[in-house]
Amino acid sequence: MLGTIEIIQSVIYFVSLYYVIFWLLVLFDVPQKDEKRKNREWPEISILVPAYNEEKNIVSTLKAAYDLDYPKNKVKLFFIDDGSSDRTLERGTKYLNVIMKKGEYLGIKIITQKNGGKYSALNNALKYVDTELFATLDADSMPETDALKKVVEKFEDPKIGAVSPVLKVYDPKNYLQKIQWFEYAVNHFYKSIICKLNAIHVTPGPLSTYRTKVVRRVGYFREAHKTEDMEMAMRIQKAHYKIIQANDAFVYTKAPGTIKALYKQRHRWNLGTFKNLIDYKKMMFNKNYGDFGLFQLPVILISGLLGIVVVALVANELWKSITHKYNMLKLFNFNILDYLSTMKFDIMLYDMDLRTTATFVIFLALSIFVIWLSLKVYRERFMIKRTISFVLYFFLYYLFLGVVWLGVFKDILLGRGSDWKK
Amino acid sequence: MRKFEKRKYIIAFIITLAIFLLGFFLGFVMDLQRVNYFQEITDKQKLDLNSLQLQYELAQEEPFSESCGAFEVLFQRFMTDLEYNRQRIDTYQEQANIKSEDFQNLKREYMLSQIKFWQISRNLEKFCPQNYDFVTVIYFYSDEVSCSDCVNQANVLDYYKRVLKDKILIFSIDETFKDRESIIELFKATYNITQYPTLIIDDKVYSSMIDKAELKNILCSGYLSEQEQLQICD
Repeated sequence: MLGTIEIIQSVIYFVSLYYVIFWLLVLFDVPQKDEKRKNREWPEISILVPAYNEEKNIVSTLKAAYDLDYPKNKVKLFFIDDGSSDRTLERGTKYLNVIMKKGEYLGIKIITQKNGGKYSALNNALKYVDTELFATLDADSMPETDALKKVVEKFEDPKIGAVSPVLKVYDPKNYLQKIQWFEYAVNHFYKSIICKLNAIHVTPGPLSTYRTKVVRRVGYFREAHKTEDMEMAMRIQKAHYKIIQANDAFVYTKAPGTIKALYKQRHRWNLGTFKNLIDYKKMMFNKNYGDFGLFQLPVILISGLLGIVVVALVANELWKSITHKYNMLKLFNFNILDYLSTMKFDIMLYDMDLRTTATFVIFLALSIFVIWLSLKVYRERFMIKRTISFVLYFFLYYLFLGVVWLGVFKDILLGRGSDWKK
Repeated sequence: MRKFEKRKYIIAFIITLAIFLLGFFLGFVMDLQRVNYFQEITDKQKLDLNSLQLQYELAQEEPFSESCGAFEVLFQRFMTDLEYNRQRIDTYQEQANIKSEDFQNLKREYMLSQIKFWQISRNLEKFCPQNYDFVTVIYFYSDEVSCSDCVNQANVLDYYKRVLKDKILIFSIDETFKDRESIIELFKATYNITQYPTLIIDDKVYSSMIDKAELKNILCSGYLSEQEQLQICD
């Protein structure tokens, strides 16, 4: 008979498998609508670059904005220094002064403010925005030169409130960044699927572009637990506008290079996500919001819970295995050779635990298939040198995300918020 | 109000359910194969056990009385396989989805074979001391709730089994099985077993956790020949 742990495992397998099958069905079932602006002039657009202590990145980000292949006489560039304590303002201003002299832009504005957070920096700039569209550009990201055009041409349907580009990890050097490279690829693939359901729940900072009147209608950016990009997307969805992903617009962003930095980033994202879900709980399981309310929002919450349960199960198994091995080694006075010499390696086919093996094989096969599809959509190829990163991604990364969710729920239960710098 | 297309949710559910049912079916087939496999082994072991019993009985009569060494092949085979297979059945029973009852019956058969083998081994030790110098241990264990020390005791026994190999015979008896097999109650009553873990080493009862050092002393005193004693007692 199945015990409690086996029942929990079965539920996790069933739910996870259901998600993957559902997404694949959507992928192959719902045709992609690829409506683009045709034979029309490029609209005026404002590019908002908020920065807080980004002295190392600000010039390259502003340069990337300058290098965008978009008519500069249609672009207003806003650089907002959010009370940086380093030389962000000085470096950004120096670079923009050189650009201003060229007189190519429709406008360039430098705004300074006391540190108030990214949302307040964006809102500060929005007071001056009078263009049809505006894009945000985080100071640690670099768009490909054609990315803005690819994003803007998606604004065909007047019901589209926002368009987000595809994010790629910039120059992944260590394994942690290479693992995130895979994660971003899969996330992009996933977003391209839920885009078909009009269920995108986040418009990330790097080059997400909004219809100005829609944002004015739904309200400016909010602090939103340090995840203003998600909260804005929720409000746009709530007002029944569409959010689209431009699958061919690529923006490079710097990924955390250490476990600690990655944990902090994901903790902030997940904590914000959870709190936003609470704030917008009326949309959850609400058929008025279609797939977004009935599927996507519950999926976010359930994935967090599943992550925690999986971590707990794996930790339990690991603990049992490690304590057993430790106790046995202790009996052998920690003489590993003696211990190994007494081990029996008599393994039969029947010893295979079918439930675990079948689950592993199914999920490995699905993961390889999803990675293959993701890379296809991502316009990348699987290279042999990426094998180790993929293996680490498959075996460890989701456990890491489960640990992050565990930290998030612990903080929620202890009543702690994000201790993030604004 | 947005559109919500139920169809794809239902199709996804049906496909997921189909994969799960396929998994259960494969699990059932696997359980069946395992039961059949062990049933064959058990039947063969029963025959071997009967043969061993008969050989032992014959050895007590003329003209077979000088043939102690003749048991050795069967005896060794039993020693290697019996406990190992019982552990395997335990594992399979935990994993079994549908054929759990069959595994319980197999486990019962193994337990009985173990006890029968224990009985023969005791007699052999007395009858052929020059050929069979080993210590027999009956290990009574229970579930984790009733016996928090059982895991540690099992580790210590596992250690000595690995080190001493065929110089120690360990017969594990699961106390939670008492409702299925009344012989367990007989042992409990005979040896006054009230707590777990309990070890019966050469007919002497030890009703608490026995650590590595303590067990070493007990085992050392159990060997008849100096050679066996020297192996672990130094």
